[in-house]
Order: sequence, then structure tokens, then C-alpha cells
Amino acid sequence: MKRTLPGFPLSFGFMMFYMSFIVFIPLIALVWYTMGIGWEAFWNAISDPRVFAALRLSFSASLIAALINGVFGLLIAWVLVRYDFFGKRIMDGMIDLPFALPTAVAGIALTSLYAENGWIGSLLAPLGIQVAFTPIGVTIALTFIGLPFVVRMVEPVLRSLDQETEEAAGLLGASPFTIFKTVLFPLLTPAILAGMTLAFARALGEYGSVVFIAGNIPMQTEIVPLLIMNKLEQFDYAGATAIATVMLALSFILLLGANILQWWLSRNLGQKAVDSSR
Amino acid sequence: MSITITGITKEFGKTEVLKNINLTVKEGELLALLGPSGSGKTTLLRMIAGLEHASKGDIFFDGNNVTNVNAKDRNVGFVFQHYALFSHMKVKDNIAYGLRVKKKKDRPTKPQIESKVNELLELVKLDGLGERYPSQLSGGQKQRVALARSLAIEPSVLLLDEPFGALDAQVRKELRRWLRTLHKQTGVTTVFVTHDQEEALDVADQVIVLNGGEIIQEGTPSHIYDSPNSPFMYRFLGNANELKGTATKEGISIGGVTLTSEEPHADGDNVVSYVRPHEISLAHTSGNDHHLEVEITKTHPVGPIVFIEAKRLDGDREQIEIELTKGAYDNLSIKIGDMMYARVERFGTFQANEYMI
Repeated sequence: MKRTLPGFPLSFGFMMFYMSFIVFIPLIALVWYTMGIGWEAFWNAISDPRVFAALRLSFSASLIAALINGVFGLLIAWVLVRYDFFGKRIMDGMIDLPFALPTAVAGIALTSLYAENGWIGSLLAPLGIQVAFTPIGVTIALTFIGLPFVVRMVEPVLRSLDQETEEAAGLLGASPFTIFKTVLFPLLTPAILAGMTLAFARALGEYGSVVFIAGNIPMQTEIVPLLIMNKLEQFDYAGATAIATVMLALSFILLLGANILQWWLSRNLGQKAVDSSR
Repeated sequence: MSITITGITKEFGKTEVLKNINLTVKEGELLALLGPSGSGKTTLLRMIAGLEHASKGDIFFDGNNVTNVNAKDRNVGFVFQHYALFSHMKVKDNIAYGLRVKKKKDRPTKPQIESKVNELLELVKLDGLGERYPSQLSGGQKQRVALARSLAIEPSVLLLDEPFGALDAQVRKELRRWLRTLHKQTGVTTVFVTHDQEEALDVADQVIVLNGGEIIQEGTPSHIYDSPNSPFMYRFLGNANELKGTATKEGISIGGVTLTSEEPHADGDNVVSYVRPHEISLAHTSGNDHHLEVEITKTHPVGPIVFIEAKRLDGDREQIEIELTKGAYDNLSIKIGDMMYARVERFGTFQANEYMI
């Protein structure tokens, strides 16, 4: 097949140039700056138990939020694609709101809702459940901002699935649950995973919506981006970059792993549904 | 297993897509549902499968009413036009699907499933392709996988929805012959939907022609072809010349020529006669029979057949189409502009008020 548009050398060159300016150079600068502070300062900055607790909270809350979004994002995408109901368009538009809203606005709204005297918080308080200023609150904020990723990744794939494939499975004697498990879910898995990866990545870096609801109690509800901000406010650039570098390395490893998993799954789950109807 | 359909009516909103359909498919029969698009044939097939529900009427399998039986419990094999294969499963897993999803007590053992899959792969002539994914197969191969998958559950009836519609002409012809052989081997009662009259006449034991949600004609392929019962049938089964005329005591009068007809029409009725292009012969001289006088305007040889257009010299000077074999054409040494006599060998006549479209 003859290639359209500029061709490999030019487009690859441009990609590298662009990626360098937008992504690589800032990140390399970060690592470079960190190396400049020396091992001892680096170690001092990150061996703080507060940093360790924050890393644990950031990664675990982000992961849980991504998992929650995986389940409910799939459900929402399913309803939006498969059913017709009044207000469907409005619903569909609202999915993107967590993207559009300044995160601080979301944080303030969530905090006032979940605080002990808020609408939801006051209902949960008698049950002994406290959300605001606990890791649960952090997870809720991260779930809020990550939702659109899964919905928007799954929707087009779900829409492109051929209903006849499900009918074929049904005619072969499969129950609706079996059809979902054996036919739909495997075809949707790569999209769900991709959406969850994006939601996870977004949650790791989230700051605005979390700081209000988290309460920022050292060792309990401090997230990594907050620690970095704290260091910067104290003009401790070395400490901030050291933590950032650790965060960067861990994120990179996790995202790389997620991508490899996706690649492996989409290869092993065969081609997409589009091919079957070709 | 025999299929009986009584009084099936289907409405989508206000449009009636099937109107009071009654039909029977005998045990072991290969039946074609033939009709133009929008005739309701696919809806009827999906109803037999349980994928659509009738607004009125009943469906029986061997005398048992299955109208309200779930699609998954009807034990029908269904083949879709666009294959509907599971793209994330290997060919062998596609075929084994129906066996693997059975309830534990009915499920064959793994070695049994494996041997069944191999048997089916052999039956559909895809031995050795079990490890491939559907995307690595050609259209014809995909459709054969779909067929093997539907046969794996040993269905009581096999339903095929335009099974060759997405394939190219050569593969289509091969596959439909092969389907016939396969049907002989398995003996499963089979219903297939098609809009291709040649395909229906070639493959089926029985043909039912649908149009506008109604059965227009049913019978064996040769009956359908030899005695179309309406102008629609003449048009649908291939092109036919329309000759307008009037009924007289002697027969049908067309442009001053009278054709003898056994069909009873009241004297003086306006009628339309349908004549197939290859059921007209040409001669340079007038014989004893009644002939239409024509002037040859165009000849177009395509392989063994020559398509001829001629203008009638009587009445409205309408164009008629004639098909001759290459041999007959050469013998007559026809040239454009020749005045010739066209003899109508067979025709069907209908009241002009039955005239459709």
C-alpha cells in the first residue's frame, strides 16, 4: 500500500521533536535537577515516613478509584449505548463535566457534601462512617475525576459491537450472563483497561479536588502532589524534585505495565469485533 | 423436524411487515424464502429462530407450539449474512461454543467436544484451520465456520439468513452447491432466506416467494419458474416483456395479432401478457403462426447468449427484448435494421387491473 501524507521519516522526526519539547525535556530536566542534589539529599528527602505514607495513599487510592471507575464506567457506557431514554443526550454530556470543571470547584463541592454537616456526610455520620478528611474521601474525589475516561473509551467499542454476535451466542444456548462473560467482556476488556489506565494516571497527578476533602493529615490523608506543593512553598526545591522523581519513576513503571498488559490482551483476545463482520 | 406457521402477523409500530402468513416446512426439506428487500423474509426467519416475536399467530416445531419459547431453548442453528463469528476466539473455539455453554449435566466431555469439532471441521472442509482466528479467513471460509458452529449443537432446524449475500459470485455459486450436498448428508430441515432468485431455484426443494409481507407463490423451483402466478412473479424472476392487449373470444389480441390462450379472460378485457426474452423466436419469413413484426435495433452477444432489442412495427412501436443462443443467432445472420417476425412461444396473461407498480 502506498503511504499517504508525509511518510515515515518526516512524521517520525516531527513526533520526536514534539514529544521532546512537550514531554521529554521537562521530565529529563526534573531528573537532571534531582541528580544535582546528590544522593544523600535525595535519600533524606524520600526516606521520610511521611513521603512513604503519601506514596502509599496516592497509589492505592488511585488504583481503587480506577477499579471503581472500571466497573461503573462500563455500566454507564452500557446504558448510554444500549438503551434509549428521556434525557439521554443530557446524561451523555454530563459525563464530561468532571473534565471541564476546575478541580478546586469539584473539591469544594465534594467536601461540603461529605463533611459531617453536609448532605451526604450527615447521613453517613450516624452510621459511624466518616468520609471527608479520610482516605475514603480521597478515593471518592479521585473516582469523580476519573469517571469520563472509562466511559469514553468503552462507548465507541461497545457501539461498534455487532448485535448479531450476541444473538448467535444466544441461539447456541448461552444465557445472557454467559454471553456477557464469554463474548462481550473479552471484546471490551482492552477498552476498559485503557480507560482505567488513563483514570489511574489522572488520579495519580490530581491535586485540586483532593486537597479539600483530604484534610491533609500527615501520615493519614496526605497525597504525593500535596507533599510536593508543601516542599515548594517552603522553597525546598530539592526535596520537591526528589519526591517528584520517585513518583515519575513509579508511574512510568505502572503505566508501562498497563500498556504491555493491554497490548498482550488485545493480541490474545484476537482482533476487534469489526473484523468479524468484514 | 417440521415447522408449521399459522397466521403469523408482525407489526413494527404501524407498519405491517408480515400479514397472516401460513406455511409448512416438511421434515428434512430445504426451503427457500425468496423475496425483494423489505418483503419480510428475514423477519419471518428471525421469528422461526425466536429472535423476533410475532404480533399474532403461532409457530410449531413438530406440532409443539414454540411461539413463546426462548431463542436459546429452541435448538435452532442460525447462520447470519455477516457471519457473526466470535472474533476473539479461534475457529475451533467458535465451533465448540454451543457445546461448552451447555449445562453441566448435558455438556460433552473435553475429548468429546474436541472430536466433534474435528468432525465438523472436516465436514465444512476446513481441516487444519482450527487454530486460526476468524480475521485470518476468507469470507467463504468464515461462513463455513459459522455453519459448522451452528451444526455443532445438532440443531433440529437450520436457518440461514442470506448466507452467501456477502460473498463474491464465484464463491457464492460453489458454496450453494456445497450447501445442497451438505443438506443431503445431514438431512436437517433447512430454511434459507435469499433475494437472489437464481440461488433459490438452484438450491431449494421448495420455494416460497414473499412480497410486501405476503406469500405470493409457493412450490417447487420448476413450478415457480414455469408458472408464475402474477405480474410480480414475472418481473421478479427475471426480466420479461410486457405486451398490452385485449382479450377476445379467440385469445389475446396484441397489436392486431392474436395469441391463443387457455387462460380465461372476459371478452374485451384489457390484459397484459408477459413474455420472457428467451421464449421468443425470430424468423425472416412469416409462418402459419401469428407473429409480431419487429425491426432489429440492437444486438449484443455475451458469450453463448445474444441479447437482441427489437422495435415492434405495430401499435405503439414498443421495444421488446429477445435472447437467442449464439448458434440460432448465427444461423439467422441477423443484422441491425432487419425486419423480422417474432413468434411468442410461451406467455402468461393477467388482467390489466392486476398490473402492479
